[in-house]
Amino acid sequence: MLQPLISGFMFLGLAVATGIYPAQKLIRVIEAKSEMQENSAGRLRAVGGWSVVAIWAILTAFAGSFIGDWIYTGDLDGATARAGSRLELLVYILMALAESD
Amino acid sequence: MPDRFEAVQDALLCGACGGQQRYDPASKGLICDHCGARSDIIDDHYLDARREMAYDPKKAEEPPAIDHAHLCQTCGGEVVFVGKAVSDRCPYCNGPVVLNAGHAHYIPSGLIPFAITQTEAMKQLHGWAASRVGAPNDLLEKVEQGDIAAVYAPFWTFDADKTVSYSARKRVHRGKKTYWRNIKGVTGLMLDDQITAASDHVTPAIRDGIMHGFDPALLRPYLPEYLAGFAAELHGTNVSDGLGHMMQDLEPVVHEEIKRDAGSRSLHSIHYTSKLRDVRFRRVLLPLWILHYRYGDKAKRIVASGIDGKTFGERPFSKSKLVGYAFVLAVAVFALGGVLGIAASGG
Repeated sequence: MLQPLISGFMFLGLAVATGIYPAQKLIRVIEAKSEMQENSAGRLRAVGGWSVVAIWAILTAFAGSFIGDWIYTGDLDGATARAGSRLELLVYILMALAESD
Repeated sequence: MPDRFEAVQDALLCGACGGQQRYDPASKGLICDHCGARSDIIDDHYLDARREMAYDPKKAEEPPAIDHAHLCQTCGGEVVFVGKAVSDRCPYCNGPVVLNAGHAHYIPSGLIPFAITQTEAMKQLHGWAASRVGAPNDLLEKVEQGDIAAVYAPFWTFDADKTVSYSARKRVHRGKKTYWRNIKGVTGLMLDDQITAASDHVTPAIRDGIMHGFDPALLRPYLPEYLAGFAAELHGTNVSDGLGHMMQDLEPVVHEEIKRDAGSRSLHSIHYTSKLRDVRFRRVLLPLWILHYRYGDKAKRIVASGIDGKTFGERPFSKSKLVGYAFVLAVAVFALGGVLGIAASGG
């Protein structure tokens, strides 16, 4: 039980450390959307790169789903196999997000 | 020999006491700094400032006029002061300015006078700084210590039909398979009063943050009376340069239009050529209030439109607040993922 919890805290720490830039980007995107002229070049440039926020959130949720599964079942191999089956969908979503940015 | 800006000095002297007059945004007239007398600006007999000029690339443009200007020692910006010099600091970067003869510039076709007073502008600028999410706690204090300057900045307005011929690679799904297909197309943009800064000191981000549309009905003739008491930067480049800047600036807008025309956001390797037809333009001056402040060792500025007070600018972030936001977001998203993971495991 201790091992998945320690892994969970490590993943969470990594998510916080890598989440600083997405948090800043999210603020900039919200500011640009609410304060800059609609469809203007400046707003499009400021909003560009928003997918970094979504990609970070999806990867964090994916790590959370793996740890949640592991803590609940106590079965590392089973949790890894189920995470692997979700991976294909994850890659597909990440590609779609990056392309639509 | 006095140039045109010195020549208008006499016309700006108060009829009652001989003191210096300046344009007053609150009363929309001239006001004497010495005795407080107010006089109207009569501009009805001048050419309509809203008129647009046709651009013919084959026709040589008139050479620029030469006058004196104040040259900034820091950023190289050149501004003119009609009547007396209102400041010895550059309105764009707050650096020291010195008088410089031989300033080549084009005469604007019109301007929109300041409608926002300094007090109103300060309120807007401070309000903008105070409302920043994730800003350091002492940001407002630093902004309140900043210097404010007013300037008429040079802009172009362009009307044109822009035809865009493009090629790209489009992602196509067929069943479970995905492949890339080469596509070609032609689309167009109708540009109507597209505002382009004719000054390197006004970035596209600041322009789009403070200028939400352009109302030609507000344009007045280019008269020294409107400039009295303010700094002004005049157009130093010709129409071809302005069009070049506009084309470069519009690149993300063209990309969006191509994606819309192709019916897909999944486009790669976009290449395009564009042609402009029926180009009409104006050289105009637009009023800006610029607040300069320092945060850490960095100079920053916040700009408010002198037309309606819309504000945008440069701001710092607090690292500790960003870490806090990242922590809250990470915990929330991680927990949500955990719940989904438990559900997926059959729990």
